[in-house]
Amino acid sequence: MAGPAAGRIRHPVLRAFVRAPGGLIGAGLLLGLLVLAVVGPMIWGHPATVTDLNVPYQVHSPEHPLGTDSLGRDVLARTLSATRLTLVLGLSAAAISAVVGFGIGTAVAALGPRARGIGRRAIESSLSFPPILLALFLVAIIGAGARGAVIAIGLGAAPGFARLAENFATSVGSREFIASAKATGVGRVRLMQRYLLPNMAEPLVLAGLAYVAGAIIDISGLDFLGLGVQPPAYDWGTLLTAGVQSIYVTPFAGMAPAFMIMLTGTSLVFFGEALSRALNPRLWVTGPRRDRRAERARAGRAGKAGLAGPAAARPAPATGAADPAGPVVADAVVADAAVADAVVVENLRITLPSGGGPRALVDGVSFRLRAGEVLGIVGESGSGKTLTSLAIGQLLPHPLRTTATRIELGGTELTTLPPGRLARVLGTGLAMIFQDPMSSMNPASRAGSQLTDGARRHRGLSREEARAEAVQRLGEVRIGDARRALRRYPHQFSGGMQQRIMIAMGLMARPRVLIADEPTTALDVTVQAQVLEVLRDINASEGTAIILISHNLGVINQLCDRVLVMYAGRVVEEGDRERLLADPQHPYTKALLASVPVLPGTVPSGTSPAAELKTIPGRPPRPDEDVPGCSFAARCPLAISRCTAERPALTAAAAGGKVACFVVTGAITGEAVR
Amino acid sequence: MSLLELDHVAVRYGAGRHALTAVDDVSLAVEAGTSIGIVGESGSGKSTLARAIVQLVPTASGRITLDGRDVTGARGSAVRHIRDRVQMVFQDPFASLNPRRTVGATLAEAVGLNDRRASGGGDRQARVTELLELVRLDPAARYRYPNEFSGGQIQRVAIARALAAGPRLLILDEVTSALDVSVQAAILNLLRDLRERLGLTYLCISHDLSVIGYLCQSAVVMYLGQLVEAAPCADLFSAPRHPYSRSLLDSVPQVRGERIRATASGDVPNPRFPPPGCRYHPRCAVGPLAQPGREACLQRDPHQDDGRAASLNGGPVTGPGSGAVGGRFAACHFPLGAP
Repeated sequence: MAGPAAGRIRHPVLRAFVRAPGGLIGAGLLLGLLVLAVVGPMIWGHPATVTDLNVPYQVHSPEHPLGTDSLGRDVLARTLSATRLTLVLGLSAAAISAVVGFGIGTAVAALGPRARGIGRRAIESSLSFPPILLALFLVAIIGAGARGAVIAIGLGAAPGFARLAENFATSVGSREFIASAKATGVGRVRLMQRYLLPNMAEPLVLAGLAYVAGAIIDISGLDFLGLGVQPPAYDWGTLLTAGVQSIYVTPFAGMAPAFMIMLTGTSLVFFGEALSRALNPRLWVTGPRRDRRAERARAGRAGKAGLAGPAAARPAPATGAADPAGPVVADAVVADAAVADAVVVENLRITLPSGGGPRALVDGVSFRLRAGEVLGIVGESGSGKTLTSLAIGQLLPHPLRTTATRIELGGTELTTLPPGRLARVLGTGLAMIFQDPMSSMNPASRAGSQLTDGARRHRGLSREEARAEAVQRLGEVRIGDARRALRRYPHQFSGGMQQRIMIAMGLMARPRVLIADEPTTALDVTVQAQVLEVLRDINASEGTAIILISHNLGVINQLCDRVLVMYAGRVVEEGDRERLLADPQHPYTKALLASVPVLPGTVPSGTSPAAELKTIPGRPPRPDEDVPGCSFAARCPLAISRCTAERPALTAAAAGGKVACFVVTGAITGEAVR
Repeated sequence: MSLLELDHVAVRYGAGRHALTAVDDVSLAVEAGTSIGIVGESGSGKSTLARAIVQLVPTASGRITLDGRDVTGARGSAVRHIRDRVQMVFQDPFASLNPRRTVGATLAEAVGLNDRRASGGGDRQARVTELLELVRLDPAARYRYPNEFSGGQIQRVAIARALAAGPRLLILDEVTSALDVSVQAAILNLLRDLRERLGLTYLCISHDLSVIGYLCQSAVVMYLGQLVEAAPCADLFSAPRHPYSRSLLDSVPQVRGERIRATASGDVPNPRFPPPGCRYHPRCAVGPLAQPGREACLQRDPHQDDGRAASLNGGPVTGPGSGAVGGRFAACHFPLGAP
């Protein structure tokens, strides 16, 4: 759907609609059905009522392609001309249930807490009646016939919609922008119109449209019972009922209306899906602006003639020699060959497939984690630090693709390992903990079984052995009364305890490597200090090598021996923690350190709190922007013309460590600093 | 007269056995033109206190005086009185802006609701432009939807919306917590600049002490709903009097200097069941569990200690210029650095 036609459409709603899968198909089918509904009775209305008792129950003939019914009436003509009545009935019934249901549901959600509770119970109890039963009951009151059937089916399905709307309204209502709208003084009705309804529209539109086909079927059910459309009027339901009775004689008489109902349902679901996407501004691709950016980028590249296209700018990792990071790693391999490395990553590249070719989110990342070392990876959001760690654990979500010359864990190459062995190597060699411990734990199972499951399965320990080990591990992460802790559920622990239990869980297999991705970001400072101490203890006592990923340079300073600084998917600086934090080399590292506010009174001088914080102008390049040179060049105060043309490799700096910067490593060739 | 005065304010959630006193007997005065930080861990009641000031949550007892008018349990015109003077900026700007409306529409609405001068559409648009320029955004940003902005930009929009009402007091609730450090730096600089240009008063809530240190002249420390220390930032950071403040400061991982030690043991207790006596005693490094002879901490809540109540009620934190800066306050039986 995202063909060239979509590119020309300017209106964001239309663009989004056209780009949604099935949007055009749904709209086309629906348009066809509507045209049929208008012209059907005009063209086929008369032939459909002509009875010819000479040819009852015909299967197929030149005059009657789909055969005839018991009175010799043409099935095709009847099916086509019934479109109008059927659609009118189905749409009206769905409209009744949507309007009544959504109205009641939203109103209930807007009530005070007590009244809302009562309303909710009322909706729930009406839900306990099957809709068709409710409809039968209503038809008995209203009376049989098309009108009665529509009202009965519409009201019968309303409780379901009411509950849906009430749920959505409650969840949208609890979001912060509602609170801030209230704080700004937005009134109740306006709040409902402008804030609640638009934010619930998407699922409600889809539910409403999807129910049209359901309503047609439900009305057919009433037709079958003789309570729906009364002869001589007919809809697909009556045709279906008649056709099914003679299905072995004239199969088409039942299949034709069934096919039409199916077609209507399909087209409405496609259409509804596309419509709800089109109404969602988060999915609007605001084309013109993005195009201008791309043009600017192209114009910028045109300045330095010859270097063509992404292929040239980003050599494939397999041809490692062309990659800037390649030679450096090769040196390192020779130098450190004697020391066993816990993790080796070489030329890691992570790409996201997209319409305009794969976009690199991480590119040319190489590093090694020595046994027992704590390596910090620092960077801002989008720098690729988390993706890098996930790639080591082979946990990257679809559709991201990884390529790398090497990813080794404890000397085992992971990229070529068969899945079964991979799970085993990772399960015993690597533990990972994440920012939100609660989401990493199964809320429905006790801490004890979560801690011991892995050990019992992977290492064949008995229940008692595994529990004894779990108690020991919990002690190591300073959880008092570990035996009691084993019996508790995750939500019964505080955030700091959950995170420490996650660490204990990771340590159960005695892994050589622990990857901690922002492990303390969600925690309070005093608890953060405790968790950092636990990690430090484990590193010291067990010799577990740790990769600590954090955006917080202070946290990095607490724990790490060595630090990698990542920017826009690449490593820009690497070095010993003390040197790197005290004397950063890369302009980005410098700027990052200067932007951290320092506690007044804790640092002697030079950093008066009165001084403005340093900021970095501009923003990092997005993955879809093809930056030929250094990705920081556009924001860098030191950039020279070479920086925008050529990508600097990670090379040894005079001050120690490695830096990917032409200016710092003194590779300036007589050019004036801009 | 102070711009904002809290007098023994308490906020309670629920009732009976499930009651939770989120803010317990807090008294505080904020002078116009100063910035006061509220520091504390999760569950300390700092956000609840802020919400109580703008009447998003009702107070259970105590009095809130804003610009000379009692606004406790405000209804009708008193709500307007608050809205005209106090606005809030939240932590997650994406969550606090309606995703279905353009930034311009959101701002124009805030202008129309709050600024009586800007009545016509043209006036509103001019004011929207002015607001966007104030937070250093391109006026063309009005045509875009929240999802088209980066985290830092959208926080600027949220600040612009808060400024639309022309408030005197801005409550900043963890406004930079969700941002990258380099973006945080730009927002902090902007906030300092706006304070100077518009003469704003800030009540700044953050778990990050360095943010408080950068934005505020003085700070109060909260623990389990209570105010435990109030002091000018320079004093608080160099020589805290309450052991909890000390442990908070010791826990801040610094980029330079020594590695921290975990001085507070355990987690913050469940605020539903606060410990008896001094609420901090189970975690206190110099409390009854660490040092003998400090049984007072187990028995008496320093807040209810008659001898000290006066200092709490009389001189909580005040801004520079009021002459009461020296009047520090620490709710501790054995304050640090005491003779």
